[in-house]
Amino acid sequence: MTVLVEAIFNGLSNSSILILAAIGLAITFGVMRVINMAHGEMLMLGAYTGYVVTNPNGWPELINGVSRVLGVRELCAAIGIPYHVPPEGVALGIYAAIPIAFLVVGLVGFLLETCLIRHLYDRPLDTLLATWGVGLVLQQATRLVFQADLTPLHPPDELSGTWIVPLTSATIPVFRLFIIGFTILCLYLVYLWYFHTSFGLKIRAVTQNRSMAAALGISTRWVDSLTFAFGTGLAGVAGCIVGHLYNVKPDMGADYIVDAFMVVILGGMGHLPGTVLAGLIIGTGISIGEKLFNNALWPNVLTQWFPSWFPQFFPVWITEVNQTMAKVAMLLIVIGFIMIRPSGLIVTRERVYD
Amino acid sequence: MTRLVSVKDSFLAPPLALQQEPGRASALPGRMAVLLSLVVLVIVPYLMPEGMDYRAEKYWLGLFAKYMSFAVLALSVELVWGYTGLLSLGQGMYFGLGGYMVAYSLTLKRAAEEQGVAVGLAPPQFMQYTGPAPNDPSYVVPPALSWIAPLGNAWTAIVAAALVPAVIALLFGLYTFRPRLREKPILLSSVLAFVLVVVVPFAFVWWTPISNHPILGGFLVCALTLVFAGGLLVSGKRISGVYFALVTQALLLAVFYLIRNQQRFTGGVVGIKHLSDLELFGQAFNLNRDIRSLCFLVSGVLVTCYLACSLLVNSKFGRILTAIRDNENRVLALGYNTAIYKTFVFALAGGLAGLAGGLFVVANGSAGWGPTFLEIPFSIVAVIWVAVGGRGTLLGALVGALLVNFAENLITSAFPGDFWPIILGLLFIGVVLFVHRGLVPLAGPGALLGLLFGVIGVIYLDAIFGMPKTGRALIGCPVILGCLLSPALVKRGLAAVRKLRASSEKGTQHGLSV
Repeated sequence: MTVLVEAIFNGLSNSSILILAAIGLAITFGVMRVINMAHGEMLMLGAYTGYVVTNPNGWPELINGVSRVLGVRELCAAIGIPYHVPPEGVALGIYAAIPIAFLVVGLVGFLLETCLIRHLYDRPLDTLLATWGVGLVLQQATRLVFQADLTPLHPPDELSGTWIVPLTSATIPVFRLFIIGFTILCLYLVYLWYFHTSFGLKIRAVTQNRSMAAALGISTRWVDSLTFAFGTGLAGVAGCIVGHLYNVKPDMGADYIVDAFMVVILGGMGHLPGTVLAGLIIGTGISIGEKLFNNALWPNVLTQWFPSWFPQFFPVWITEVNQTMAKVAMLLIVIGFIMIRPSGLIVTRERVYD
Repeated sequence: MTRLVSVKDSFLAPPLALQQEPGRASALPGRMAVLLSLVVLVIVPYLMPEGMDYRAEKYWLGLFAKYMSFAVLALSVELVWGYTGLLSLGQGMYFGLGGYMVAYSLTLKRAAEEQGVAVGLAPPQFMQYTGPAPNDPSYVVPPALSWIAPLGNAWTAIVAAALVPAVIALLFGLYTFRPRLREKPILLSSVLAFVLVVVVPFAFVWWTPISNHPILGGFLVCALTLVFAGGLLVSGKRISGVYFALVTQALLLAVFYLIRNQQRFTGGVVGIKHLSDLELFGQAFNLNRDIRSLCFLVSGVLVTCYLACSLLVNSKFGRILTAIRDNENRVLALGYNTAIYKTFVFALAGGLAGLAGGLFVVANGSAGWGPTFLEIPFSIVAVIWVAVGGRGTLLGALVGALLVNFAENLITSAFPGDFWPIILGLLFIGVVLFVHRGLVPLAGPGALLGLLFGVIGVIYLDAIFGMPKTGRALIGCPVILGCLLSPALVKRGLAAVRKLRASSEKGTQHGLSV
């Protein structure tokens, strides 16, 4: 019972992180059909924004790093202007960091869309490559500014304890509960924004029939930019949350980008509920797989269930099974599913010329 | 009078791009330039400065050998992406598998040399074997070793380096592109051919481990054949375009996790470091002792692959590939089974990439082999080479791979502050936005010759003046790029002079007439 409850909560919180990372992508990739390979780096920027906002050292570190990379101090010395080390900033909490991350990363996404992606709408594969270049630049720039990797950010006191589930002895970190709740809140807001605002209506109109929407007076350029900014902003929010769980480092986005793309494709392009469902399936699948692919579990099972000569034929899978294998198995299953049904779990019926 | 053109004639006429333009010069000088640059590529070891010390020669020729093996990988990306329009972000997977085949071979040989037994009997270092020594009577070949033991033969390893990735690419292609072989004779004959070409040699070479582990071996063989047959029979919606790119990337990630995780079979994160020399035709290819023959090996393979690929893409087959890239529906409507073409070219490119990986292991020498080349960025960087060089031109693959890698080497050795990824990213954005077709269409067929001239020029400058690395990078990169683009500048200049002369002649005529 305890193990089960812990596994369920673990799976739910993993799924929540995956859904948070994928829902922004579901908007930019699923709805707008822009392949943003820099999505992982947007997540990373969100995490660093969270660091700068929640840590008193963050702001001076950012300023010092930027001026070191650009050589501002040497420039000041050459011109004769005194260079002041910036004072420690005010440490705001996670509640302030999340909206700030949304705005900052959304702004970056807005600039990315207006400067680069807009010119490549008719060449999707080139968009993929160009945004990967952007991701590389962002990653390396962050590495130059904040030299060492950072440890996970500290959640505030009310979120850093553990919660004992009533009637069991399962202990669950409160922050994991917060993530689950926050994801549900985010999904609700996205739902309201997409289905119950005039802007969401415009997005749906533009994605359904761009020229007709333009003829009806919708500024499709503006809708594109803002939608993209919104999607990347959600990635920033996800990064801010992930930064509180795992190490904050420049290449942290790479751990999420492939999973997020798989979630979006598995859920069905342009289908936001499908994305949530796919995120739940993959997230809980990996958690269950981690329990299943367990070194301690398999030798017993094999010796009990199968004849004694059996294990010698499968030396690979008995001795070296662990969490990574769960991820490998999940990826392979998802790839196989996509190959059989490229339209995903939930199919939105449409007639296309192909 | 109106000219009557029948519908049939207009369909049969060659496409616009193939028609000889009236003012266009013949293709002969371009072909000669390409041939000359291939010759230069082969004789690069003889073009090094006189009296260069061996360390410097080893450094530069070692770079040439490595980057030429990358160029083979770029050729495979070019075939798949540049000609057929399938963006594969997982080409590094095939490169990596090929590399593991050759690395197994070399590490087995090293272990056999050290422990004084026949190749294939001694467990290599990465297996971390702790049991009786191979020459002990109680020694039993561990199962993991018995599976890789056939690779101890250098030729088997080379063939496996090309064949194993090609078969995996074939199976992946069968499931992705779904050639619908409903006609029974074709289906049966292709299954038969697959069994003859792949399964029988596999069973022959791997007979010992299969007979020792009949269940696992039989399972592997049956699974291979079943996947092959199933891929031919399954019908459904095909995936293409962006989906294809993302699926290849996801598969690459899965294989990377698997290889990094199975430490006892692959050396894990560290990889396989304890390598011997490759020995073919009684000639050992060693980076430290005889760099020239190593360079000849790699350049020979590269030039052979290039010529084979150019034969392929200039044939009718190649025309169909480009047609698939430009408008697949039209090719389908003309009655071609495009899926077979795509599957074939994908398998071929997989084999090429595997060969490139095997060559790279040899060229990398004692630095060894690890899973870094199976990471996601490396595969995308391979696409960058092709995009920079020029998609749709085989020469572009060579130019892109050599140019980007030499630039990377010059810049990273000069500025250790890791500015290279930023430059690479910006380069890529710039190429995609502004030089969409790549550098070779810009510079013409003399691009590779110019590039090689530039690189060798930088080596000469370095040998004569002994520049610091910063200066070498700051001078070298513009020199190389300038030399690369010089054929176009020369061509433009000649055209301008010709135009000027023509106009002046016209002017005198005009004057005379007045």
